[in-house]
Amino acid sequence: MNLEMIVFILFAALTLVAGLGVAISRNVVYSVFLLFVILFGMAALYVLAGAEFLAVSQILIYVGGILILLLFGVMLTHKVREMKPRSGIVNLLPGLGVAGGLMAVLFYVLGKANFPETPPAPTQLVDTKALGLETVTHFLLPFEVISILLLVALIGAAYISRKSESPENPTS
Amino acid sequence: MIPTSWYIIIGIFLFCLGVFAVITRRNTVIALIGIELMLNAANLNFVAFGRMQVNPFEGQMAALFVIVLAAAEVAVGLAIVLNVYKRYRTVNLDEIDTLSDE
Repeated sequence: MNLEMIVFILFAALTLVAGLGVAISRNVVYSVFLLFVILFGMAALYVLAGAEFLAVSQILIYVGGILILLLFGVMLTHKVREMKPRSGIVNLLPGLGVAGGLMAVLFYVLGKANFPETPPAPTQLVDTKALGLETVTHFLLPFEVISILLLVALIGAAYISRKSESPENPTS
Repeated sequence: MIPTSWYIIIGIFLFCLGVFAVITRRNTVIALIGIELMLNAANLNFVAFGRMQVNPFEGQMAALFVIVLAAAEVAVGLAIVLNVYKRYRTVNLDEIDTLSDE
């Protein structure tokens, strides 16, 4: 048990507690802000796994983009006057059953799986420069494909959520 | 070095919490948050197993692509949610049942 492991356990506990809060909090805004805590905890776990660039991307994209979008979603889909964006819990037993069963299956598979506990010493330094070079050499095709996909998705999202031109038929 | 199974255990818990949130909540935004939790759990597995690959970049690149896909998914998903709200004045998944066979 060294310092690295203690830090890992601290951040893992933070992430899991926040995850539990997201799953059971009745207030939608609390859920979104607890997602914020989860994403920061995950970024810390990425750093501990030696993936610094991924941690920074996680914070930039998730916290800077996705979380703001989700907050806008909550804001635009609940009436401001009520000030109570609540959401109760339904299907408690089926939810517990499915999630618990899935967890049991995954832990069973983890117990049966055979992989080395500690990774071998890295042969190559995985820093941001090397990662960037790798992106434009070995992973060039996926990189281009995903950039086109992102462009298409963003144009589609802008098109779907645009203001309708005809007031008689507001959903067309 | 942190043992790989520790990451996998955190991933399992996060994934199941995401599944639980999607099943038990009736708010569309929380369903989207549950999907984000599941994607993050998958990402943790990619990073953890990527550490023991011969090419150490593969796991991190896959995780990066998953993050980009999550961004695209949330953008389109929220656009759809806004349209649904405009039409039905609710985001409760149980009340949006026009297509269901009564």
